[in-house]
Amino acid sequence: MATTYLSPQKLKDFAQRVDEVAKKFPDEVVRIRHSFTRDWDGDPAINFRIVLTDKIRRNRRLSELSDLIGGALIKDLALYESEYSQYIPYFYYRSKSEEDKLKDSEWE
Amino acid sequence: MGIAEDLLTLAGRLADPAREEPEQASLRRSVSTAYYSLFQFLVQEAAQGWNGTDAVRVGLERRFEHARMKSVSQSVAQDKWIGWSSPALTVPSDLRSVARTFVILQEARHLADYDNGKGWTPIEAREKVAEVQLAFENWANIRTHPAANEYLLSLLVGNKRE
Repeated sequence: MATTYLSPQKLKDFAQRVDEVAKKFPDEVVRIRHSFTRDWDGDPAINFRIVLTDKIRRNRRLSELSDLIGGALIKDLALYESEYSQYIPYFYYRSKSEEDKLKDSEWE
Repeated sequence: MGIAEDLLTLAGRLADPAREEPEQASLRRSVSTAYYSLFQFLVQEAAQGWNGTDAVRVGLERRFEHARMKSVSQSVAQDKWIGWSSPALTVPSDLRSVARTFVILQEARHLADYDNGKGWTPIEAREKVAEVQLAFENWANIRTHPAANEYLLSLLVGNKRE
């Protein structure tokens, strides 16, 4: 369930900026989905679900890439400095082939 | 090799289960084990500074609480943490990265252990293992930095009161 007081326009702008971050990584990122929610402890949170291209396979590359993408989302969306700083950002990564099999609506 | 490193090795194996292994159970255990690897790692780093007996060291290690560690780590990740030094120490980016990984892995561990509605994929699990591996490496870069020492103290006693 979405949990945020942000206005529809703010949410729209936020979504647009998330898409812009995804476009920074054309060879690695297929899409990024997100939702405002609460984490397991009940703290306000933003879950980012990042679908990666199938080129990404090895752990080493995965750690560098997730650091890069997560870092770009934090920086470009000012997640730790703006009104969004009350939300804890969480990042989850799947490959395109994994998601194509699962067809999980939250990731589509 | 210490228990933290052993746990991370195990988490890596569980993230790549053999065909006959139950996949979801293995991936969940992988994510959970990766979190405990980082938890144990930080607790050990903190306890290393203790010069008392082994028995007291165990007692010290048992005082670390997951919720407090999350709260402190979130403050560090957001650059809102206040250490004990005056003037305040600059927090190195590698320390902020370690703290962020702790918060992210703790939530992942909650989902892996308790949320049966969430399915995990091998890439999701491997990415969490890889994040912890990177946190170990980042920690090695800053473990002698005064801010790292104060972070470990904060993990035990909580954020400093303003």
